[in-house]
Amino acid sequence: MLAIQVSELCKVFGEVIAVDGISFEVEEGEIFGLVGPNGAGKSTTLRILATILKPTSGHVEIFGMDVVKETNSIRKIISYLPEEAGAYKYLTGYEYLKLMSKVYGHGEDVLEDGIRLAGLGEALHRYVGTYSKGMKRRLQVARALMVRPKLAILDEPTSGLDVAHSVYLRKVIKEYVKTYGITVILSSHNMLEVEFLSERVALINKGRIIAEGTPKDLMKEYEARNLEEVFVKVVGHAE
Amino acid sequence: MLSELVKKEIKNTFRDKKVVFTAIIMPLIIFAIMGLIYSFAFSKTGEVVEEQIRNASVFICDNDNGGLFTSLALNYSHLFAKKVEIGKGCGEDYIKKLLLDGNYTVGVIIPAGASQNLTLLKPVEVKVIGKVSGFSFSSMAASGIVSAYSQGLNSFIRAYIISNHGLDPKIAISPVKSVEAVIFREALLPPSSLASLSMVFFMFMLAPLMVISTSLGVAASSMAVENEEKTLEVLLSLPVSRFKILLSKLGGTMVLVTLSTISFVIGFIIYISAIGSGISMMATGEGGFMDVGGDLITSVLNLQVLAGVGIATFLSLTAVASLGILLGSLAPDTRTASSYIGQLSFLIIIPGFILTFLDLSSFNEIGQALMVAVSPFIAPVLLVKAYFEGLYYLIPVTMIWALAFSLIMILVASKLLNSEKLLSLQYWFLTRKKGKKSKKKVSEDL
Repeated sequence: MLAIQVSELCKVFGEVIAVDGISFEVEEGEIFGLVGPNGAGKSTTLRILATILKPTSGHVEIFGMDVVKETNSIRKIISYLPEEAGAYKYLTGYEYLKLMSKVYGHGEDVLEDGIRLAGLGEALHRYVGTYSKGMKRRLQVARALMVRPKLAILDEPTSGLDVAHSVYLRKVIKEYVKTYGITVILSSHNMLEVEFLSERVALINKGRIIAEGTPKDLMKEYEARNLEEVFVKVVGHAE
Repeated sequence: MLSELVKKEIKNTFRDKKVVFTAIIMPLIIFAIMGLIYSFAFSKTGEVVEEQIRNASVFICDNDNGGLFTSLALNYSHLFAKKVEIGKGCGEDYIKKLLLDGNYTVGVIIPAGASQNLTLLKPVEVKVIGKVSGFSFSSMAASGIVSAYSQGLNSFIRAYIISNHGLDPKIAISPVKSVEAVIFREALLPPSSLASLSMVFFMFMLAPLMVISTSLGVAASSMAVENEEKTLEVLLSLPVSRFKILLSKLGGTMVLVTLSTISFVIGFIIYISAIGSGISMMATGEGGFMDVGGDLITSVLNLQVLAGVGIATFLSLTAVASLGILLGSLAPDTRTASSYIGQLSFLIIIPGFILTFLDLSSFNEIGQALMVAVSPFIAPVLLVKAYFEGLYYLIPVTMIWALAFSLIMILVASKLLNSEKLLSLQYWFLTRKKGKKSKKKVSEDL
């Protein structure tokens, strides 16, 4: 079954065309990466998938449900991690995870998963306001994954983190989604991260998808050693 | 699920010490301090006057060469003050120096020819000089010694002139013994007490306006902080209806607002009690009306009025909280929310100040309608004013309109609590704020 089906999606803000007629599909259980520079339209696309924004035109379905007409049903099966996601500073990490598990109608087992995924130890009982950026991101990734969504939408999951935190989160994401068969769509401008996590990627630039395929196929097609080289070559071709 | 979100709001709000202090502790402190200061100022004023008169010391500067006028002034001064000294051929500079050195409290300059004028029944211009150290109530009271001395001297010399003509000074000086009073809500008050009552109202207006402004800020922040701390997008992607999100916000704010209202009412009781006793302390005893003023203020403390003030405050706080949530939704951060609130504060401050200086009954129908129109922001002030002026019909009108206003705000907020609209509006505000040159930066944020 298709987890995501995007057809001719456009999103315009005033005079700015953020997404310019993109189409792609993601299979259930797949990890799909959207790769592109800042302002390419990645976050806007993910926000539309997360029912935060509505498309200006085009059609988007999540597990066969229309993102415009069936938002409430979609929100029950997705989990969204924005690029800059904060948590309530006067809640402890534990209280935050507990709140989120209850909001999704889950119990203690999910909460236990969240605690394990966050890996914050005793710090979990401190106010979130005292956390470092890395700790907050770990809490957010744990929050997004622990509820075992059918689709996890992760916008720059390791954005701004140091190597240690990034490696930890990539490992957690890869293992957890495989365990529970979670479909993931993630965005990043870190090509190595996308290459490591994604089974298939779409390169996006100026609101348009300029290449799509498995990292291996793309590297072969563009005779590149890694996705970074692919991106440079494709963007060069596109411009 | 709603209860979990409300709990989250309560925890996140009440663990912020700044919010608890400004919304709950501050009204208590402000009212109590204002009441105590007012009461203290009244009692201190009385004490200062008594002290000044008890320890009055007068220096008479005699330029009349020991004539009749000087001897009369000397006799009166001995009745007025403990210590009286006399000097010859001195002027204002000498008196100033004596007073500034703290040797005397009153200086009197009798001009040359004063006795001759007295004999010819011509007016005599006597300079009476006192000293104050500031512009406080106490200083104002202290300055009263000057008029007390000059009025006393005038009466003393007038009595001398009258008795010299074979008349009874008591009758001749005051042939009419009048007791002045004005009727206010069936109570007789001396006109002078109205100044005190006006001052009570002036100070009373400030505190609820501050509480209401605070509530507007707290509510706006509770929503704006979701934007600022980047929690809004996650919140809006959760399987929770927008209405429930709004209700949880309002619920959390209302818990705070309820406690703020209770704090306000307790503070109000403390304030009114202190003011009542303060006015009673100021009672001169003459005519006996001053105590009535104190009783009138204290009579506000009946259960019916207190319940009314409590409900009106609650409604006002609800109305501004709803408006605050609406404004906070549109603000990308708490700073922007504060600027929106700042721009709307005139709705609280201007009618509040108008009511401070004018009676409701002095407005025509349109003016009263305008006051009622903005009453959701100033309901407790309007209610007390309407009660004191006997305009009882304005009380239910004010309450009903405040309730309706809150409902309208909640409905508008629930319609606006739509991520697409919010983000579009925020985008619009951002691009307006940053200007067209920054549109590229804004588009990158998208």
